Amino acid sequence: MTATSWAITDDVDRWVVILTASLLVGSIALLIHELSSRRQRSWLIFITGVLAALCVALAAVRPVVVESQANLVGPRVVILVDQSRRMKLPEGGGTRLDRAQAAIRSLAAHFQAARLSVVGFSEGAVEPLSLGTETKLSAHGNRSDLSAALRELIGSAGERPQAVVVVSDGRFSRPTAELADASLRESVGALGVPLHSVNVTDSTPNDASIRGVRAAGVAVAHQPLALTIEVGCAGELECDRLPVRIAELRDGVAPAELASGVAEIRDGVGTVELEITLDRAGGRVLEISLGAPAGDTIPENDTRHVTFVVARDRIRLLHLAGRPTYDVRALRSWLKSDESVDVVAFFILRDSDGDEPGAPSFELALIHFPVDELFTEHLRSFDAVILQDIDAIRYRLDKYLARLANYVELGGGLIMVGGPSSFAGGNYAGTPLDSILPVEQPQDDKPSDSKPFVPRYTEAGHAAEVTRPIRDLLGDSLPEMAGTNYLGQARPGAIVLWQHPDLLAGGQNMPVLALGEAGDGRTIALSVDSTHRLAFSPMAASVAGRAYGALWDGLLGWLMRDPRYEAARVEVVGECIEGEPDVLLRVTRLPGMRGALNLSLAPLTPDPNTPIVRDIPGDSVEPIEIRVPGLKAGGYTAKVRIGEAPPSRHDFACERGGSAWADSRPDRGRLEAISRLTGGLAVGLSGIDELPLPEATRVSAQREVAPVAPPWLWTLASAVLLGVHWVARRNSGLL
Amino acid sequence: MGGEAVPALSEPEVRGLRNYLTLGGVLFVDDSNPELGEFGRSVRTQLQRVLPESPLVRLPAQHVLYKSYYLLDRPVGRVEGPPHLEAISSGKTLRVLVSSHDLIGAMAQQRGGGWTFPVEPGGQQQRELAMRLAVNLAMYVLCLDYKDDQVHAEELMRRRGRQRR
Repeated sequence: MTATSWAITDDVDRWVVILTASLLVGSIALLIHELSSRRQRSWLIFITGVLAALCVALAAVRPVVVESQANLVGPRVVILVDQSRRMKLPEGGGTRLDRAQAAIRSLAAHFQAARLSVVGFSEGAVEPLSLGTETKLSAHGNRSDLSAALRELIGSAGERPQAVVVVSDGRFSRPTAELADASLRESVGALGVPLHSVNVTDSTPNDASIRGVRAAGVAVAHQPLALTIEVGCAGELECDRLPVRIAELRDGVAPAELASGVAEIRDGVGTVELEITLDRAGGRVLEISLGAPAGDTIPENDTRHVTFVVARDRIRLLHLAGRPTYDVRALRSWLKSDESVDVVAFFILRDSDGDEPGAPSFELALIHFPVDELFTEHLRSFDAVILQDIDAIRYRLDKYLARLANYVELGGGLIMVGGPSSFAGGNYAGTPLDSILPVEQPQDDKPSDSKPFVPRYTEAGHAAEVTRPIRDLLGDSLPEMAGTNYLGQARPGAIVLWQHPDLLAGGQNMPVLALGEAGDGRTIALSVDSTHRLAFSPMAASVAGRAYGALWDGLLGWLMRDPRYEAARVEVVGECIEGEPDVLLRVTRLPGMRGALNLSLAPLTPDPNTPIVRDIPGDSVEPIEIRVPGLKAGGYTAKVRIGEAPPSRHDFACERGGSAWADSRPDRGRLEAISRLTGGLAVGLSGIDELPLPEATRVSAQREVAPVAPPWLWTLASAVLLGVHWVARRNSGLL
Repeated sequence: MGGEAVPALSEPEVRGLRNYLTLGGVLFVDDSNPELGEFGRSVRTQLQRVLPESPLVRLPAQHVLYKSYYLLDRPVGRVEGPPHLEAISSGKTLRVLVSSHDLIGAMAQQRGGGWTFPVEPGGQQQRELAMRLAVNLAMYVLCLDYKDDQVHAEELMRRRGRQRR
């Protein structure tokens, strides 16, 4: 197809054209003005003048003839295919994604004359896909954000499509279902072209599911938290009342049921509000399960695993001391000075076997030690327990030690501080509590050594964040301690921070300060009762007594999993979904942490399988990304150790269907509304042939430019016409 | 402890005592001759130098010192003295405690075992109360305000009511 047109030469700037045109018009206007004041009209002067001016102007702009040849090509059509994880829902023996793939093949056949491009969308940036028959669609991402995909299409460089075909089940995250027509048009109509849609499924599956879990506010340890659980029942299932149960997954022990209730289903949806109380701060994994009726075709969305990050408003401590000492005073004084610590203390001030106060009980400020009440009713309400020089048998703690050990394994903290009645001296050796302490307890006749000594930092003690505050103040120096309890060697996995310079245990220097993990909880063993010398001694005076607070701040902070005292930060990149090929963990060392990295990943619930272990060299680039093979649904704990420092822990949930599968119903209405509001057509898989083909696009293929006349001819013509005009003016007496 | 005027502390002594108290040390001052009062006056002068911004104030009868082990209504020593102790506090913690009751005198014993000084006007009962105050003082130094904790409040209030009846 050939077309001819006129233009001016390319080498003349626009301003030259404008100036020339202005001068031409001005010259003609002056000529008219000049001739109009004369009595005698002179048409010859006027005509020659106009022709001369025109010829001069044309000589300046030099007109050309453009001959162009153009082709018609197929219109550009973009197929936007939903690649969210929801598209992996089962559908007719395959998945919705399989049907989307079939739709793409049909579209390719139908739009043979068009220039087709296929783009996948879910959450984040859109993904260009190839149209080959071997191409297999993949699904990823929980969200299905059509609005963002259209915005990205508008912002992309290149030719704008003449039509867009959306292939999905219509259950978009955006635009949301609640949008009115005007808002929906604004959300999807900015491209200005028809949005056709192909619905990959018409049938609603028989499915009962947990559609959403909402918390009323932030989860705070020990405070009730209301969870609203939305339950859906779709298809032909008979649902009136569906039971819902919430359990907390804890490391190494069976899940603990927190609450249960029944959701009343009306019009296919129901909610139940359940109140739970999480006692431990940090990431806690909840399992929320639904008792689905028979005939449920998608069991994967009957259970959700959700990670709640539980904050702590105050640390609640139970401080039990067997006798009043300077060490008890120092610890109490420090604990009470911290507004974020809530201390409940019981100090044994009178030994009922030996002390005679010489006064009736009503003249004494002494109360009965409520050991039964504390360890049966109230233990769970504390974040940590400090046992300081208190005899287990004499004060009847012995019968609650198994309960105390269980409390630690469920996430509580425990510190045992030295003294004549601590460790083996307090009859703790061989008890259930013994096994969760980070050190063994030798059952010797002599439980303690009264010889003064100065503890030494171990390699781990130098590396640990927990001791950084005190090392910042005192360096490697520590005050002399007035003796120590005899301790055995550290248990496997325990970290020794301080050791005795002379005493040995298991062939190594005896631990003085050791950290350990027991189930979900943490424990600290401190063999001395002289840390008050960090607050009140000549060495303490050199740093204004701040060293005591620095030590205990670190110990309590580590016990409570304060991120400041962890060696590394661990996070899951994206989401952990069962069936995905792998899970990506990102580990970031805290500043100053050096050494090789060891990752150990294991399920929270008891599991006979060996944990997944990864070792990364110490010189690896930060942050370290570690891929582990796909995980089954449930709760997991990732423990990371950097060099010799104590391990950091991160608990996370892995879901089966996740939020993408929470609502399995297709939304045909939304697809139809989007197409209707943009001038498109909504069809099913069988109606793809009905989609209209946009008009072909005209594309210029060849262009030839030739001057109307050579420049010398324009110049000569101008000179001749100006000469004729001059002669005409002279003959008329105008010169 | 003393009965006569104390000599003025040197500047290093003042600084040392101030550091001791700032780190958490407790100073108990017992006037063994309160009738004369010279010791008390000189101590107040020196304390003014050590802690110039913390004046001595009367310790209220509700202070935890009076319930840290025994339940007491008032301080007594060898002499009955004023019905209060004086103190300098840092927050809720006592740093200096001044007694004008010769508390130590009430407990002083001769080498043979008899009491060194008679206790007036309450006799042996007053001596017993003085010893209870000393025990409370030791308990306070080791346990601080432990008995002020909320968990003990209800039980102690009930007992105080019984004592008054």
